[in-house]
Amino acid sequence: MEYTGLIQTILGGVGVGSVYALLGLAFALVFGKLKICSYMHGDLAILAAYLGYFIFTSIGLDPFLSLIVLIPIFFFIGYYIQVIFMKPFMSMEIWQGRYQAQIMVTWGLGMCIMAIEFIIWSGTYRMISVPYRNATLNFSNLTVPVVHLLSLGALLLIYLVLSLVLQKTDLGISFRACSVDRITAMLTGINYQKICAISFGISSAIAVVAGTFYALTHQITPAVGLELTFKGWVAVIIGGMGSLGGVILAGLLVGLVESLTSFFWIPALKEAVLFVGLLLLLIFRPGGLFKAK
Amino acid sequence: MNLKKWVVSGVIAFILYMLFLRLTDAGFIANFIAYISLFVIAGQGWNLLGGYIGEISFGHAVFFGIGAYTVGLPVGYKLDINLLLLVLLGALMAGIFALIISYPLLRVQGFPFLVGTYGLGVVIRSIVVVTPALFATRGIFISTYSKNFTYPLIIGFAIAVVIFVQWLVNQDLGLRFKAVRDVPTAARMIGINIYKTKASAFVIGAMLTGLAGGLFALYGGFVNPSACFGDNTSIFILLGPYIGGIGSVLGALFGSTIVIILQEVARSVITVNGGHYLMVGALLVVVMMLSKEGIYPGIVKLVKKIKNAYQKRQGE
Repeated sequence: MEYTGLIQTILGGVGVGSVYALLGLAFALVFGKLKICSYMHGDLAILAAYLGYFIFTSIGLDPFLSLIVLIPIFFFIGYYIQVIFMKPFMSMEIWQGRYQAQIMVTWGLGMCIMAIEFIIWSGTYRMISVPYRNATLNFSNLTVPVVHLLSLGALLLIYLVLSLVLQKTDLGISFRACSVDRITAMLTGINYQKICAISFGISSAIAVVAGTFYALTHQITPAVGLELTFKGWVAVIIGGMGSLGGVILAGLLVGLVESLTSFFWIPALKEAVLFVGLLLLLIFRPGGLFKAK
Repeated sequence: MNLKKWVVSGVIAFILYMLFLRLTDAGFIANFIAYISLFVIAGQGWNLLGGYIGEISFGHAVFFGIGAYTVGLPVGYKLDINLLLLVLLGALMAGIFALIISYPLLRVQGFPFLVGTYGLGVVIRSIVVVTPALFATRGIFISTYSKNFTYPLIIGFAIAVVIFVQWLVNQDLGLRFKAVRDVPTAARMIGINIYKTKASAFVIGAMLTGLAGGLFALYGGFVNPSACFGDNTSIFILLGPYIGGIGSVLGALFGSTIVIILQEVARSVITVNGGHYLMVGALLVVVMMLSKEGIYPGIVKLVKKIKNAYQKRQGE
């Protein structure tokens, strides 16, 4: 019997971790390759979750169907955030405080998003009560929530599509060129700013998926946004700063650590254990667990 | 040196505040100025690391809280120790803790440092919340001194801290801070130990923030995890120097004042839930878009530009 509980916890942790992995993927895409630091994707995810909630309660449209509308919308939101707010900082070098400036602008925007959510939906906990929210698949005496399976599937799908796009298409090739050498890429006629804007848009679209799955497994409140942002970043740091595969593993690990802590110890300490682990990691392997190739 | 001017204006400010306190009989505004001064002290501490070294910390509430709890805990356990001594001890404790924690944290820079300090805040808060020996979420009441003693004390400390930081950044050590921030390679070439320099900025800054925490315990007469270790405390310590102007003493001073006033006004005028986040977030975005270094350096630059243009026109 005890084994069942443990395996159940591990499965749940992986399921929750897939949300963090998705967010980590969104960060790693823009940070690892293009050196854009964003602290607002958690808030974007929660905004998407609230919009999904709004559509579900007003029209009754399923959150997965509303994704079809939300993903393009958020792609354009991300695109124009990059164009309007981040462009002045793109020509800065790292030692000129590029990251600091980007962090502060995106965090300020994130705070505005959070405030707007507070104003519209107040701070009460909300949940999208779709009929399949509590549906499970049973394997002998293990129960796996369907939503977790779906989010894992979405994570794999997005990862595969991203890798394909990065390897095969023109967009991916110019993207990689920008990440290797910005100046040379610009000399060969690649529109650097546009590539940055498109990838910021893609990462915002990934954040939408993460937010929707988060809303299907948790209750949402505006203040969660910053927390999600930080967990996504923890995944990026553990994953070795920007390797997409490493970030996914690290995100799943983050979820696993949280659920195992809740299982064996006090649930209130789950974040503390996570961040203690992060501090230990910084001592022993500052480069992250799964280093980029 | 220039420092004489700072001391004189500090003394004048203190005398003015004392007069104000007498005249208004320690009313709301005197209280509010003391509250702002707390964040000015903490902000100066943050600025040593964030502005002069260039590493943004999202977790200075930890040092703030350590300072506050060093004052609160002995009171909670009914030990009879002089409160002023405890305030100084709190600053020392925060410094020691910063020295220990700088070992893992300062090995990374940029955003891992930021996430690490945020994580530190979460860890310490969670530990305090679940430990009954630290009074968990109940908090501790402190029978503090009268207002007429506490407020001038806070103001005095704030003025002293501002002058101290201004003095420090023009010393050898302060110049090293800037060298490490701007030209790390060159700094290493002339024999500056980067890690040690960063650590000393971190520790001195943490001590100042711890001092602010201890004074906060005296000011409020109450410490609890959410007020001392909360995210909001970190955010407001950070935002002041950042908006005012990182890496400048006056900028941090103005910034802390602006941010605290703004958020209190927003809280009482815009009674909508979360309205003050909108104000602060919008202010942050606008300031960053207009002047990357913050309000004060931006204004200084603007004034210089206008002056230059004026002189050019007169020359023609």
